[in-house]
Amino acid sequence: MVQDAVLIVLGDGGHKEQAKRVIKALSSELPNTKFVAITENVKVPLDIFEVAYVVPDFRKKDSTALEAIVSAIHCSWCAFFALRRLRKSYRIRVAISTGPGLAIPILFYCKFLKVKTVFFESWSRFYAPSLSGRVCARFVDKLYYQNKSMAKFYLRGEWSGRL
Amino acid sequence: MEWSALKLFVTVGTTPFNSLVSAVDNCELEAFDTVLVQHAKGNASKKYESKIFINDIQTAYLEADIVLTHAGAGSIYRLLELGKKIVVVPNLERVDPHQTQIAKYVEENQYGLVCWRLGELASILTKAVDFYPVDYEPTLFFKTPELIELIQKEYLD
Repeated sequence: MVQDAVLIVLGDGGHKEQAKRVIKALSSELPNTKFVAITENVKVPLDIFEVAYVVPDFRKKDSTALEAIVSAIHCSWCAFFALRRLRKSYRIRVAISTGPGLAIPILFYCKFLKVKTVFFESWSRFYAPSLSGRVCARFVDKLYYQNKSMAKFYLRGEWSGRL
Repeated sequence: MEWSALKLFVTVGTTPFNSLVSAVDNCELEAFDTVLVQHAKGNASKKYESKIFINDIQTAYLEADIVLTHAGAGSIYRLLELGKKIVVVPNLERVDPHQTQIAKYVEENQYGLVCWRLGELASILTKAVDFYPVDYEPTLFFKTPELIELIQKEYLD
């Protein structure tokens, strides 16, 4: 039986912490909502997700330009199949990301599938947007930025306060 | 603040920051009676008590008089929310520059001090003893109702 779920796309470090805060904010008001995850190479707490699929990093921190392109393609390929597997058991209603590079392919696929997409620019961005923010801003349904100084970069975005 | 009783807690988060740990070892930290270094899977301090990770880091934060921290946003925000006095050290060896952004934010708003060059660490830690940061009062996330409405609408469709 296919169940409705909210997809969270997260990554390591601050991305994971911000994702946890999003879920905490939502689950108190939506206690029956199922959350599923697709995440970059990191352990996720399974007690807050029904299921979590791990894919390779979209971009490793110390990679060359060529390595970055190869890892982005590899990640996007794996992300496609992870989403396909997820959709066999879950009807994704909304896809939310707290900003790792993985957000780019996943939210793009979800947009194509007519799933509502929400992107959070990172809380550590004050003076320049992230790569994933710059790309996702072009197509997501809702973009939130957490620091007011980012308003000039995200004309279609909304200031949300800090997670 | 009594110089003889100060506790310094050094934290690098989850990513090794060997140059910071070395810089701490190379400093004369006369102002501090106790120094604890959390070094992740990088090099431990050769001079001070060191741990890879600390289970109850909140207690370590609360017990410290000054926290010397990498420029991870999660760590910085938690410390500011606790009202701790911080010295931030951006890891400029990392390829991604976002640590620089939050360090600049902390410095510009005087929420703490920032050490941009590890050679200046000793003088900045000395300065931190008598530094009084501006109170941190963020606007917390207020879009929860809107996000919930968006989700509920999609569930109904």
